[in-house]
Amino acid sequence: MSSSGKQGGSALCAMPVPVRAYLEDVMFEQRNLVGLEIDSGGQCIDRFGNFQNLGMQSDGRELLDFAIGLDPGTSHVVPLVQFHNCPPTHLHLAVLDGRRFVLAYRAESAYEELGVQQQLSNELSLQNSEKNQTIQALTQAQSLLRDSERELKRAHDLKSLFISKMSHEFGTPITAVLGRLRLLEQELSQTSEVVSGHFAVVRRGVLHLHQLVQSVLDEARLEQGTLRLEPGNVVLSSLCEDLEMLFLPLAQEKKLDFETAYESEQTLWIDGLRVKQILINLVSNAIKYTPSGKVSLYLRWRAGKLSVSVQDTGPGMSLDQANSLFKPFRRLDEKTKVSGAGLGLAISLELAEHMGGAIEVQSTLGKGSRFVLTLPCELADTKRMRDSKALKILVVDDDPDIRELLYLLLVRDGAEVSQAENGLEAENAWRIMQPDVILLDMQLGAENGAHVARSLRKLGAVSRIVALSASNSDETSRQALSGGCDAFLSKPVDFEKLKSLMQEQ
Amino acid sequence: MTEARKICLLGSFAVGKTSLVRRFVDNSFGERYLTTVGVKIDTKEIALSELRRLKLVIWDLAGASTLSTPARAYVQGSHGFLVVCDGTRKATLESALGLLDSARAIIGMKPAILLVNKQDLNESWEIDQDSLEEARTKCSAVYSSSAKTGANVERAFSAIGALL
Repeated sequence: MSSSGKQGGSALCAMPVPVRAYLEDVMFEQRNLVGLEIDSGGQCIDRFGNFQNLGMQSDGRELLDFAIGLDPGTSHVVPLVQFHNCPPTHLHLAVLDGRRFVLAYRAESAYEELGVQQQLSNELSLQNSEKNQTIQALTQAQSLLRDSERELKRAHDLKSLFISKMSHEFGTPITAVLGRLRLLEQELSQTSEVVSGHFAVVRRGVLHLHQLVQSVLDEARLEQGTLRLEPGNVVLSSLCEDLEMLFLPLAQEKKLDFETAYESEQTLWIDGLRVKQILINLVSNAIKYTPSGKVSLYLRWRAGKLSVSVQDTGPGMSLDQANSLFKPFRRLDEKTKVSGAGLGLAISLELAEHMGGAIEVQSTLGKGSRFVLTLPCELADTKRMRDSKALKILVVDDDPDIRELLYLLLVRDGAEVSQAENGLEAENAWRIMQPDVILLDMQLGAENGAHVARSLRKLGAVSRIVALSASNSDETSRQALSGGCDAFLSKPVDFEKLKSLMQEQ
Repeated sequence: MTEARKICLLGSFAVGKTSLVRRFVDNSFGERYLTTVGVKIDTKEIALSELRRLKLVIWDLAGASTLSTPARAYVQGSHGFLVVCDGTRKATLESALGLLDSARAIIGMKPAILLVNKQDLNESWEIDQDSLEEARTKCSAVYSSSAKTGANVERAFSAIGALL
């Protein structure tokens, strides 16, 4: 709204008549000029023009509203005004010869032109504002994500610590129990069939407990990607015989034929414990779910690949059942009274994949199933093996039960064995004995086994040092190897694997 | 005769000034944003008491973050202000209070009420109670409003009417 002085009436009078007539036509006919004369109190004295043509009330009261509050002695011009439900107008409050007039006429074209520009400009600003808000929200989300990642890492570390502690807490006593059982069986099982039967029951129970604990911990390790593989020498024929010995009684109990075969006598370089773990799952499932007929196991190694087939004449599976077979805590028939946590096949597949291999299943309802495990592996270098019988071995462990157990097992195997409880005793024993092999626990109370290994190496020890630990973490293994150990083996100790590791030169 | 008073709505663009007037005058609401060009003038009578009625002449000024030269003339003769900001855009609060300061610098200390609008979008709210401290010292009242739902719209217009 702008103020203006007295209008140029003389110029209008001087205009040629046709021009005046033309302007009158423009203002009155085309732009619908209307007006009111108002007194100093804002009341209407006179009016002219058709107010309804401008969408206003017939008395033009909108123009009176416009004048409310305005200084009665000053002229005003408002270029674009829109009254309620009226088209846009130009408005003038004109003071002429002491009289006050409110004049209005159409202003659609100016309104539209300015409106389009203003709408675009405002919408652009709004978009910019939204963009900035989105960027700000994204920045905040990123920050939250970083916080969550930190929390997740903390939780992950806590979980790793828990698994490591649990491995140690469970692993140590189970090693002792299994080892002692092995010795007791050897000592006493000849005495009577009853005693032998008792041992078999106890051993099965402990093994089952051990497998359950291992399954849960393995699942957690696999989920975390912290499961370590411990390759060693595995004789294909021995693996086949072990499985036959383990499952033949069970198959016979169910009156099933259990056939085992291998293609040729070969020694592979592979984590035998994990291979056996997978095959135990596959064979035990085949026997469990086959009511009659036959279960057969066939092993072969060709062109860098171990391939094991477990085939049964059981009820077979539908495609849906086969697809959900490897999911954790799943059973084909929840009503069956089959023991276990339902983790076996899930872990077997994850283990196989962790080892770079796969498990394939072929099955037809009513016609049995065939599981094929394939794992990449090379043949072992058997020339580098030495005889374990003549070895001088130093066992370093703070747990007297484990120390004693290893002592008894190794002595029984023909080795010369000394024991040490800590780093200092180990150094003294090494000086006296000069052992071929040192079996070194990685957690000697408050002492770190890796530090002890480093000290022994500094003294000049060239013995083969095999690190033993209830923790199966990569971190423990890395510490052991960087401390000067030659090999790492997790507890509970697989005695065959231990022998294989000690025999390497 | 009913008294008449002029009030001006001040605020940045797209804060919802025109929608507030539409809700107050016609009790209607449209989702589409349409910029105000120049000024829109509406009127509505309100009852301040059983005996006193007041005609509000509402000048809805085109949105801007600062008071433009035409707008400096529009506020002439205003008896009070409704100052409007958008609760989902914090910057519009600062603009609204700046516009109020500029208008008062021209026509003197007139009553004002602040509306923090778009209450219905409170999941994207950016204005907290602490940031309204300055507004409380400059305005007689602060309302959280929604032209969409009608929340506090009638109340705010009645409140400014009572102050005029």
